[in-house]
Amino acid sequence: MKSTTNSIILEVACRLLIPVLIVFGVYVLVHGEYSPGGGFQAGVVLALAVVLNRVMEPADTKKGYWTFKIIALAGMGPIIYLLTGLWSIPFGGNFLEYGHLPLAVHEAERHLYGILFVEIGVTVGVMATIISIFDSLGKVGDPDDHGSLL
Amino acid sequence: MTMAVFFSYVIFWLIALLYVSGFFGMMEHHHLVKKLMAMNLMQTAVILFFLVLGQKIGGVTPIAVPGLTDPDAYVNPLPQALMLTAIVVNLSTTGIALAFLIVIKKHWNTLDESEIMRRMDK
Amino acid sequence: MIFVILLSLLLLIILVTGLIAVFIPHIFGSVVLFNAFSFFVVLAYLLLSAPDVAFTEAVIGVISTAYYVIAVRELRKGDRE
Repeated sequence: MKSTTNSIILEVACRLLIPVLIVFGVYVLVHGEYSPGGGFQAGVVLALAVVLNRVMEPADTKKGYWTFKIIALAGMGPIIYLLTGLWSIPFGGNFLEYGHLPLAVHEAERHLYGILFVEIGVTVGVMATIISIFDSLGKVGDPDDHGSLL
Repeated sequence: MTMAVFFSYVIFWLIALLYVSGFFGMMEHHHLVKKLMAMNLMQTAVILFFLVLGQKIGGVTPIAVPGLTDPDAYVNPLPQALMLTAIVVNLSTTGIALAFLIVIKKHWNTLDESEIMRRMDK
Repeated sequence: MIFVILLSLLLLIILVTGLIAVFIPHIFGSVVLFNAFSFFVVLAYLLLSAPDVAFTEAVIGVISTAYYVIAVRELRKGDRE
């Protein structure tokens, strides 16, 4: 199947931008305690990389996306959050009490790791939700749709 | 009235004007996508109003500066935290409203509000 | 003082951009102008020393423009045929 691209400029710009977006998203996630950013923003930046890939792709690609798996991923985010909360209960803490996490570090650092796990859950949930909203708005899971997105 | 006080009144009037123009756009337009955009204008005006309320002239960004322990030197961070939530809600409102618009378009085959109302009355 | 004047000017730009975005007849141009409006609002948030809100608004502006573009494409699909 011959795949015709939208434009060579769009394709090259997309190829340059997407890795930068992913790295920046991970940076925003792990650096969110000290600087502006956090789980939600990191999730949206990571989702932007996927959305950009979907907008810029060739016109006659068959759009058999993994819509179902994206929704499953959106459910994984709250589960990560919940497991982080429940993790401290067997070690004598309350729900989401990070000081009792069984990590061999100082207590203040345990707080940092606990917040990081919660933020990872938020990031996964937000990213998958935004991609699935985008998919269902554009009906890109529809196998009969061969049109370009733009 | 000094100049700074006058301009702070100007700021509040401009934000009120932004809110009212969004409200007018919501009432005036017949196209439903334009109505949604006008609603986003109103939300932005509310967020700006809250942020201006928390602002103080000469205040520092509410991220901990080493050595600066005086709480009066920082801008009030509570409206910012509240408005962060409001922006997130803004995005999900937009997504759900656009999904509803696609359903309306599929069902009535038009996005003109008065046309839809006329057909609903029949 | 300079802060207050700068903020008033920026709010004036925001007001004009928002009004044009809502009241021009062409729907796709309206979407693009709405993105411009969103980025002027980011500047206003930065001036109000709220970098967290500004970063969120920048990211949200881009993703909501993507939503608008994709939904407008879907909404105009029946009009062409």
